[in-house]
Formats: sequence, structure tokens, C-alpha cells
Amino acid sequence: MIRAGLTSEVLLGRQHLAYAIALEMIVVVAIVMTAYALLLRRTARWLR
Amino acid sequence: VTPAAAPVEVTPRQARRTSGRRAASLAPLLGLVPFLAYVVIFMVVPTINVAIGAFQDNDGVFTSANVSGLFDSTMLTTLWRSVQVSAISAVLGAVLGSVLAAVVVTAPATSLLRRGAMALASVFAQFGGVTLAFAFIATVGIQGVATVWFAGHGGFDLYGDGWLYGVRGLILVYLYFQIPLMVVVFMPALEGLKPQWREAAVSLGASRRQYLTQVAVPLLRPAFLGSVLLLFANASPRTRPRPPSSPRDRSSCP
Repeated sequence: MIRAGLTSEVLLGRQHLAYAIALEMIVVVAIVMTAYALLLRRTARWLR
Repeated sequence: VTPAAAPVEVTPRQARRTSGRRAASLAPLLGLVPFLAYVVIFMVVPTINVAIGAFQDNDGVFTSANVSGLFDSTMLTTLWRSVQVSAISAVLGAVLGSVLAAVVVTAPATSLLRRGAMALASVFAQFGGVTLAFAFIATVGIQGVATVWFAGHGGFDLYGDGWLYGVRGLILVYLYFQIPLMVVVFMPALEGLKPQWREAAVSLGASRRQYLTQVAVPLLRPAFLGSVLLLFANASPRTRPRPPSSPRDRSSCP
């Protein structure tokens, strides 16, 4: 969908919508990686 | 009263020595330069480009229409599908991968089985994109090698209703790299389980089941949960199913 948006294949004239979708996925991954970092920090104390 | 300390004079020779030491301490950092350049070019610059482009229209003027368009029902549906596929493939990949890692870790560290399994897992964990999609289509697609072979030997219809192009097929394809990735990231945690802990539990009268449920699983739980999150993060940006109204809504590939 991002590729289609970038090439304006489906949503004609809305190329920058693809950037917004890509940004959304970056936010999703950032949230997951933040949760991962918090999990590591918390569990590091247990496993010490 | 202590007398004021006299200013220390630095001779040119001492100054040269100090600057030489500083340069020598910075030398190892030079090795990081290619890596930092790679990160900047392929990660930082595209991320900034995406973040800026998301708030621009086709003429480069600031707009929030693109971001507000993400809350459209079609967009939310595709996001939900993406999260579903990522979550299911992450959990299934974590469970199956941890079982496989537990089997592999029982082999001696220098054995051919373990070294071979780790080498294959490392390679398959990075396999994805168009090549992986093509591999599955060429194998179990409508004219795939396996589909044709099964049709000619027993008349079994492997292609069926086109399951490969649906959510089930997408999850299967994702498992192809999720399971090996789980083996790679979970193996160090399994290797960290010391035999002495098992011996201590057994000497205190614990059964095999008690050792597993009260010692091994609690110790491995943080690593397992962390691995699930890593697998989810690994899967989520790779897929973004098209909206149902799209004429090509079956062409999503990992």
C-alpha cells in the first residue's frame, strides 16, 4: 500500500499519504521497541 | 595559609605528547565512521524525509490532511489487519522457534547439527521481500512446482481456494523468517540456563516438571517476551494490506 501510494497507483494525487502511512508504521515500531527497552530494563533486575 | 600554587608550565614536547595520546584514543572510533555513515544514509535521512513528507501536500505546503487521512475507516482496517498478521506470526513464530531452539541447544556446541541449524537460521531470518513471495508462489501458487506435482500424483489440490494469497498464506510466509529469527534471538537465553541450576533443583527434590515450571520458564520468560516483541517489530513494517476496495488487494507481499 505504501508503494502504491508512493507511485500514486491507487490514490491519484495523494502521494504524500504514503509518507503518512510510513510514519504510522515508524510510530508502531517505536512503540514496540520502547516496550522492549522497558521490558529489558525491568527484567535485568530480576536476572541479576 | 598555603601559598598559591605556581602555574605549571607545559613544554612543547609535553603538549605534543598529550595531543598524540588524544589522537591515539580517538583512532578506534574511526572504525565506527562507516557504520555511522550507513545508519545516517539509510535510516536517519529516510526517517526525517518521511516525517517531513507526511505533513506536506504535493506542492510542499504544510498540511495535516495526510495524517488525518490515516483515521479513515479503510486505513484503520488495514492497520488492524497489519497488526493482526504481525501479532499472530510473532506469537506462532516465537512458540515454534523456541521449541526448535530448545531442540538445537541440546546438541553439543561444536556439533554439525547445531552449527548447521544456526547457520541456516541466520540466513533464513533475513530472507524476505519479493524473493520470498516469489519462492512461495513458484512452489505452492496456482502453477507452482508442488501444486503441479501433487495434482499429478494423487490429484490433491494444494492450491485450493487460493489460501496462499489470504491471511493464512501471509502468516505461513511470515513464519518462514519469523521462526529462524526466534531461534537466533532465543538461543543465547537457552544457553544461559546453567546445568548447575538443574542439578540444584534436582538435589532439592524437584521433579523435571517442577524444574521446568518453577526454574526454567520463569528465567526464560523475559527473553521470550522480548523476543515476541522483536518478532512483532520485525513483521509489522513489512506488511500493509491494501484496502478491501482496492482492485489488487491480493497482492500484499512480505
